[in-house]
Order: sequence, then structure tokens, then C-alpha cells
Amino acid sequence: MTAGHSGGSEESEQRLQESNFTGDLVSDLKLLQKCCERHSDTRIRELHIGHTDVRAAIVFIEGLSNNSEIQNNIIRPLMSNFAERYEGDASYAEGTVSGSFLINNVLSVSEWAAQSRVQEVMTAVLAGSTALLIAGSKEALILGTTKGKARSLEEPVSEAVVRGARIGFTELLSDNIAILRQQGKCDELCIERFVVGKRVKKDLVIAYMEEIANPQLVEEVKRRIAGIDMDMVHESGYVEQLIEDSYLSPFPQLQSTERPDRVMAALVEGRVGILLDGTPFALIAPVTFSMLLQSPEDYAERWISGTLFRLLRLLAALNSLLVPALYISFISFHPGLIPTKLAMSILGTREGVPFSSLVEALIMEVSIEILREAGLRLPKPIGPAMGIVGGLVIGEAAVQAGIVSPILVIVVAVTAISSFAIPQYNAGITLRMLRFIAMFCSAVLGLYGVVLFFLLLCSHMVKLKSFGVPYASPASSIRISDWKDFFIRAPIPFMKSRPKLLHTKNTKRKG
Amino acid sequence: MGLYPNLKRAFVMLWLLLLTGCWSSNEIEDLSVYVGIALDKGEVTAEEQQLREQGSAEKNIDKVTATLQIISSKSSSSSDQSTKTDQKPFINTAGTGDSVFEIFREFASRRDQPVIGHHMKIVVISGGLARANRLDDMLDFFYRDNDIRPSCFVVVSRGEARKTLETKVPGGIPAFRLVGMLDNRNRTLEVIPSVSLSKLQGYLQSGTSFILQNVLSAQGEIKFSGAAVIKGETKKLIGYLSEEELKGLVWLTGSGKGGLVKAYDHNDSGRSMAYEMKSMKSTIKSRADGKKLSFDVNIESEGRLIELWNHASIFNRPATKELEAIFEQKVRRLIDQAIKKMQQQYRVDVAGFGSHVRIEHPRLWQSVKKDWDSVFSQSLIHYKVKLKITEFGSLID
Repeated sequence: MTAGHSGGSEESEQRLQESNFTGDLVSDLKLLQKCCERHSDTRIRELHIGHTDVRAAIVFIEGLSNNSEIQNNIIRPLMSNFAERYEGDASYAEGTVSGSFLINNVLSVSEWAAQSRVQEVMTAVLAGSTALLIAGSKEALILGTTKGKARSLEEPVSEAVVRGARIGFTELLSDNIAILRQQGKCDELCIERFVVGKRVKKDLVIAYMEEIANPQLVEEVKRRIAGIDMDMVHESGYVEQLIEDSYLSPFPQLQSTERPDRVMAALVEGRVGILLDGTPFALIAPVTFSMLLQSPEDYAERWISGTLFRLLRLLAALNSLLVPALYISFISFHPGLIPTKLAMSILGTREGVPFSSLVEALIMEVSIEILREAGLRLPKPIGPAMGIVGGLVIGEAAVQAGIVSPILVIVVAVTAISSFAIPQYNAGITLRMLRFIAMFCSAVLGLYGVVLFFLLLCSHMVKLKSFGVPYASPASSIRISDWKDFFIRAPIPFMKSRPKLLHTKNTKRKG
Repeated sequence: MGLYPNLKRAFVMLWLLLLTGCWSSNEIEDLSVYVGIALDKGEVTAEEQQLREQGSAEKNIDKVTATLQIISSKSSSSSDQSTKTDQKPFINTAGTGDSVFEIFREFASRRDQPVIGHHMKIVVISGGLARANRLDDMLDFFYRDNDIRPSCFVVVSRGEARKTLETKVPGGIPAFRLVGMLDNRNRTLEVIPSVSLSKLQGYLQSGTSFILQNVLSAQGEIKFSGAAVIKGETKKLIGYLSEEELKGLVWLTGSGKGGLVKAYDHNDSGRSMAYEMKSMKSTIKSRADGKKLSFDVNIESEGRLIELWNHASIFNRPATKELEAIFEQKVRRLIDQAIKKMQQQYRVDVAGFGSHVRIEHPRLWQSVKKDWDSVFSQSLIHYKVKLKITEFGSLID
């Protein structure tokens, strides 16, 4: 960007930005214009205020600030006749108009600040505020007129539920906070604002319940967010990766969600929510592995169905992790463990398959991953058609051609479907990734290898912590009372206390 | 170790792991799965004889011929319908030698796919072989081998055992047919509780006499008929129980799950009738009078009259008591035969009277257990049979 400018001019600009306003409107405006040389969308409008000779100027960015608000609440009152009233004001001085009078009596703008430094003013203007410079005043008034570009509220795409709220977060932080507050009236809900990004600044908000959340947890979240040192934080995924406990672990250590009800439920449990401007994905910390297998629907439906869904998802998770590995170990190592009749049919169908079971499984697993990845990018009209073609080729034709056995097609299909039964998309990816490692382990050591892999995975999960909370809890640090909301979902009246593992200030939910 | 010592260490470990390759990996389609074995008296087959002559093999006494039933993968494929019809889904191959294991390993030099025994379901031992050799010697390999499951069943064939592993039904696997027939105990009294390798081990080690299911074969058809009697002392086959004797034994021990009693009414033109047994219970009590032992057996059964020929009208049915008496008489005759065979001909206890003595008179048992079979053959057996016809089927009369 700065390639065309010499070092000298850059230095002078530096000086320019660091300088303060002088109070002389003409020179101040010149100063500003210089700053705005490369911001061609800046608009400067000069005007006489209050039917007097006092000149003023407003500076704003076209499109980023709310035009009608500028017209109706800034320009129109400024140009109306308030001079007579002003003469009775305490701050009256001949030939000038004070900023405080304007704020108190004229301008109908809710958000304002006074600022004397040119750089600060420019930053505010570039974020959508309007700066008001008045002749004779050394301070510019910054008026909040930001109008973010937002889309309308939509149903969360990645976390659809049959029963439950249909609203999802959008890209606008102020909207998201509003949606969160809308979840219920609560004066305990704390929203603390941070700015992240060294060069491109973005608002980040952490939300927690003052009377519930463990203060140490809140402090830890704040500390980690304050430690973010990046020139720009594009998405909440950046935040997630910058504040997580272990970057080597395959498991997501913060939960990302588009669902405000999910964030709110987590806050009431005593967790902390992190919302970033510009992304519909909020983060929840701390997270345990069991949370990734839970869906808000578990609580919306009655407890029996909720429990069954949960067990089903656990089965799906195990499926998507282990089924191809078990297939390989049964076929290549332990033919005795297959029921005799099934062994006979496998024997028949695998006759003529030229590859070992590992290669066979890898071919199919990789091609179904390619199909999935391509499915994300395929244009909507082509998507289903290509899916069918891909499915046919992978399923039917590969068997007909004798590349793979039909049993494997079932195995691959079951695992692929299972991995999408997991409510958290990123948890599904984790399991899909680990599946390949499991396959290699089983190809080397058979069922023994699968067991070793699973033990390794479990020991890693037990050791892993998310913001001080063991990842495998409440299974690893056993708290039986927390098991009411673990594999099973106990009836709501039984869930009297908050999860103990979070060490909340207030432990009772009811009673 | 540089920047990430743990990472490097993990990498080295992974590398070492991968260096091992896929050890002990054997794809299922590269193996021959055998599901049944027939053990016969050593008799070298013609091909084997020729092979031996060409190869000048080791000198053998040829005690045993083992016939393996191997699942043929080529025809069990469901996609090839055409080949399935004219090809059997199994192959029987035989080998002869002095050691069962040696015979098994001989197959490695005769077949491209090594044989595995995980799915073996049944061992058929020919009567002739069992008469000449101890059972525990013949089965020693099956107990030691870690492929073969102890749940594998053992039966005896009075004829050639390898014939029982043949069938004329296309698509069927004879070994599975045999195993399936062992499940039919709720239909007939001729099938006795199946004896698995592990159960057999118990018999062999305790030294009790026992019976094994006998299977007959004729032109690809097989039938369970009677039982082979194994003497606990010698662990060799000493004879057979006929079908009637076996039924008598089953009634005596009350071990039947289902079956029938067929009888003739000799007072009334010898019409035939059948009683379908629904329950059978036998309580055996041992009585010791000094060294003289006697047994009181009380046999009770309930069932239905399922067939009655030649009854002129539906009101002209003989009294239930009369019918019961006829059936009871028939059962008594069966039991008499069984006891006679056990006590007088074979002089062995295969009905488990010994365990009653062991439990009820443990002191006495200590002194008689050494030659229990001969003590048993001199003891008295009193029995009472009570059959009760509780219903007459769906026919209303």
C-alpha cells in the first residue's frame, strides 16, 4: 500500500496524526484533509451553525455511517436557530459555540465523545462515527452514527434442530449481544468489551453471569484474550486457536456455536461466552467432550428421548471413529471373531479384491472424504446430481469392478453418516481425522492396535484441559452428580445443581 | 533434541511402529476356513498313495485319516449365481498320518491357502477309531490348538465318519447341518444334550462313563440314531445304545426336552396312539444299605394325546387312565431295556447315578468311586413312571 510513498512523507503523516486540533477550523480541516488523502470515501461538509457566523464542519464516511441520522439529528438541529438560547448559556462566549452546549441542547445523538487528537478522531470516523469540528474549539465531537451492514436474522445453518429456537447469530456484534440479552431478562448478564487485533481492530465481547460464573475462570478468559497479539483477528476461529490450551490436540477446546440459546444455556451453567464482531460463531469456554455430543434438543424433548438421542450419538461417535479400523482388524487379523456365516459371505465377496483390507478401506474412505469436501463447494444446482454420481461410483461401480468388497461399502457408508450425526461439526471432523490413525493402528497390530489407539486417545483426553476443566469430565474426575447430564439426560426436576466441575459461585439451580 | 523434543520422540516411536509392518496379518480370503472334521481309521486315499510313492514320504503307521470340510470361497460368493448351482460350497480333503497336527500341517504343502480352525463347529469320530484309540489321545491336538474353540461339538459315527460330511443337497454345508440337528432336542428324544469339547474334557478327566450322539449316514443322508457308549476307565468306545435304549435312558434321567411316546393298544385291535411329551421330570434318590446300593427313580411327565387311530366315534374314546397306563407301560419297557443294557451288557453308568451317590452319600462314594461302574451294575434300580395326559389337542371330544 505504501509502496508509492517515500519514507519522508510517511514520517510527516505520522507527525500529522499525532498532532492535536488547534481550534482554527481552516487549518484543522486542512489537517484532516491531509489525513483523508487516501480515504477517498471521507466526506467533509462545512456549515454555519445556529444562524450565527460560527462555522463548523462534519466529517464522516459515506455508507458506513447512517446518512439519515446525520441529516436529521446532526445537520438539521445545527442549522436551526438556537443562537438566542445560547446567549443565555453559561459557556457563552462571543463568536463561538461550545461543544457541551451542542451536546446538551442541540444534537439528538445518543453516543458521543470529545477528542482533541487528530488520530483518534480519524479512527472513530473510519469506524463510522461522525466528527464535528467547531471553529474556536480545540476538541472535536465524535458522534456515534455507525450503521453496520447486517443481514437479517436466519436459522443457524450448521446446528439445525427440530424443536427449539430458530434464531441464529449474525455478523453484527451489537445485534448478537441484543439477541443474547433477548434470551431473557437478567440483570446479572455481564457483557465486557475488548478490542482485539493490533492493526485491524475488532470488538470482542465476553459474556458471563456475574452471580454464577467462577471469577477465576472469567479472569483467565480475560487474561488470555488480553494476550492475543495479532494484526487482525478474522474470525472467532482465530480467537479459539489463540486462547486454547493445547494446539497439538486434535480436539476442539472451545465450543463454537451459532445458537444464542446454546450460549445462554452455557452462561447459566457458569460458563463464559465469547462473541466477536463480524462472525456469527460465538465461543463457549470451558468445554468438555460430552458437550460436543449434546444438542439443545436433548433438553427440549422429554428426558427418555433425550437420553436415547444422546446414547445414539455416542454410538455414532464410536462408529465414526472405530468401524473401519475394526473392519480391517477383523478381516486381516481375526477371522475367528466374525460369525461363521458372515465370514463365509465375506470370504466370497472379498475373493478377487486385489488389495489388502487397509488399502481397500483407505481408497473408499479417502474418496468419500473427497466427495464430502467437493459437496461443500459444488454450486447448489449441481450438488445433488454430483452427489448421486459420486455415490453410485463409490458404491456400486467400485464393487462391480472388483476394487472393493460390498461389506466395505456398508462400513464406509455407516461411518460417513455417523460422523454427521454429531451435533458439533468440528467434533465430527476430529473423529473423522482420528479414524485414519485408528485404521493404520489396526493395520499394524490388529484389534490390539485398535485397543492401544483407543487407550492412547483416552489418556490424551483425560490429560487435556479446557480452561482448567478436565476435558473428559465428569468421567475422569468422577463426580457422580454431574452424570445426570452426561450419557443420560436425567429428568429436569432431578437436575437441581449446576455442573460441579465448573466450581460456580452459585451451585443451585432450584430448591 | 531441538525445538520439539516430544514431537521428535513421538515421530521416532511411530516410525518404529510402522517398521513392524502388518505383522501376523492374514487376509481372510487368503485362508481356508474349515468347519468340520471327520476322524476315521487310517486309510490312505488313492491320490495320497500316489503322492507318497512319488515323494518317498516318511514311514507312517497311518493311525488316523482326517477329513477336513473347507468352505469353498469361490462358490459362496453371492454375486456369481451361475457357478453356485453346479458347485458345492465346500471341499472335503483328507490326509492320513499318525499325528493329527502333522496331517493338518501337511495341508500347507497341498493347498495354497493355509487352513484355520476358528470356525470349526463339529468333530465326527468314527466308531472303529474310537474303539481302538483313547478319546483323549485323538482329541489332544484340538484341546491344545488355540484356533479351535472348545465350544466345538463332538459326535460319533457308527460307520465311516467322512461319509457324514457329505450331502446331496446343493448349497448345503453338512457340518452346519449336523450342528443344526443338535438343536432339535425339543422335537425328539433321540437328540441328547450336545457334548462340546470343553464338556468332553470334563468327562475325560473325571473318568466317568458317558454317551456321545451317534450319527448314521447313507448316500449323503444322515440321521442321529442312538448313542455311543464310552467307558470312563479306558476312554474307549465299548458299544452303542439303540434308539429305543437311548430313549429309555433319556426317560430314566429326565433329560428330554420334547418328543413323543408311541404305543399300541393291544386290547383294542392294536391301534396306534401317540403321546406328545410336554414336560419330563425324574428325581433320583440313592439308598445305601451297608455296601449295597439301590436307587429310587420317580419319573413324572405331562403331555397331550396327539394321535389316536381307529376310534369309531368321538365319544368312544378309551378312558384317560387307560391311555396313560398304555403309555406308561411303553415307557417302562424302554427304561427296562436301557437299564439292562447299562447294567448287564456294558456294565457302565452313563445315566449319572454316580453323582447322586457322590452328593447324597459322600463317605460311601469315596469307597466305591474307584470301580463305580461295576458297583453300579450290581445295584438295584426301582422306578415309578407317572404320565399324565393333560389335554387332547385342538380336537374337541
